[in-house]
Amino acid sequence: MSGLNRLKSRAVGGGSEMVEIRFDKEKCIGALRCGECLRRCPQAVFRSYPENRRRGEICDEWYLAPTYQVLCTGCGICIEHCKPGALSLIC
Amino acid sequence: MCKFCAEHGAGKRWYLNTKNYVDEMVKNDKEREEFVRNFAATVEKDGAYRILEALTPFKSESWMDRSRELREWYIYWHQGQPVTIEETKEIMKIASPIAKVECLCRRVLRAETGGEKYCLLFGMLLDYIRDWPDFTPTGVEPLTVDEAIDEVVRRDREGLVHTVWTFKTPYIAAVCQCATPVCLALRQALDFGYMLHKGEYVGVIDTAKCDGCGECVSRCQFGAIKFDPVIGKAYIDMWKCYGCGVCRAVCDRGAISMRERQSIPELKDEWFEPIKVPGSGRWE
Repeated sequence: MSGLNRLKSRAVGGGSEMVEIRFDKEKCIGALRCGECLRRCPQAVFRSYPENRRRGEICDEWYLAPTYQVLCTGCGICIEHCKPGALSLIC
Repeated sequence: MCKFCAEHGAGKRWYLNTKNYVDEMVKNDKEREEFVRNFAATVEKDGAYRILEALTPFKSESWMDRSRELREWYIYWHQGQPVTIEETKEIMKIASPIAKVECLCRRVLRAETGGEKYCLLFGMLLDYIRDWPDFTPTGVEPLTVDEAIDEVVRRDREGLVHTVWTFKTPYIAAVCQCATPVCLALRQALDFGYMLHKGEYVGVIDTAKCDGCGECVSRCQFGAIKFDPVIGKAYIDMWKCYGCGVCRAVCDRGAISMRERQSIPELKDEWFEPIKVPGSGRWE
């Protein structure tokens, strides 16, 4: 799909044509242990979130979500650099 | 005068009004106390994230509506505004106690865990933040007024934008020192049009003094300064300028000055980035 068509489909809300990042939590080793995707994404699409947080303790389970996915260009840099292979792209 | 200054400024800029820093504001307001207490606890439950997630893949109309709602939510609870270095120094004299902690945005957006402390927190927020050490993995470092002023001057030279933050407006409990896109607020403001007011000033370049070195162009966190190769000088897009003054700090020629937003007819009511649907070219 050409860039122009993609823009048009976004404008009319045809969301199905958008690039989608799939994230496999089972494979991810944690954003603070690795964080390659967070640091390398040119659009800074990712955001990390702590899980099972408890008052008074430091949480070391931080996973990610492609929160700003609407800004994703589908360049694939995150996938190239994801060592555990937790990310994939659906175009 | 901006809405915040009119309502909370008592004749001054709202963030220079001492009343907006007193602890009683938290002690006497249960709702605010709750918000300050839960601030560090709610990072995983962040409303903005849920909404963005729900809108992917999104429909244009609901995007606009949700963005408008979010803008109102932030104005009520947690609004920021860029401040110039002179005013940041004034704030350091008003706020107390002051301490610096690591920046949660950098951790959340870029997995930055270097231990460098960027965020200045004041008053009651400091009491509650200790409950959530994710916010403060390398501790809370108290600062005297002079130390705090040195700190903000240093960050200004590094090219970071100072922003002042409310915890249920108008109570002020933090000054952040940020850059794009590692700052959640700058990020949210530029890409989605909410969370950060534009500042009370707008930068202007004196073209006669500018020698076209380009230092300011790379410093601008809002993409407002461009280099014009035809005249060989930099210029500021005033519609995009947030008035932080970071460009002025690096100009050896003293070509950049800050003008009151109120003195510029078309910009005096220009407080927010337009809400856009990314990629569509639609504006509000």
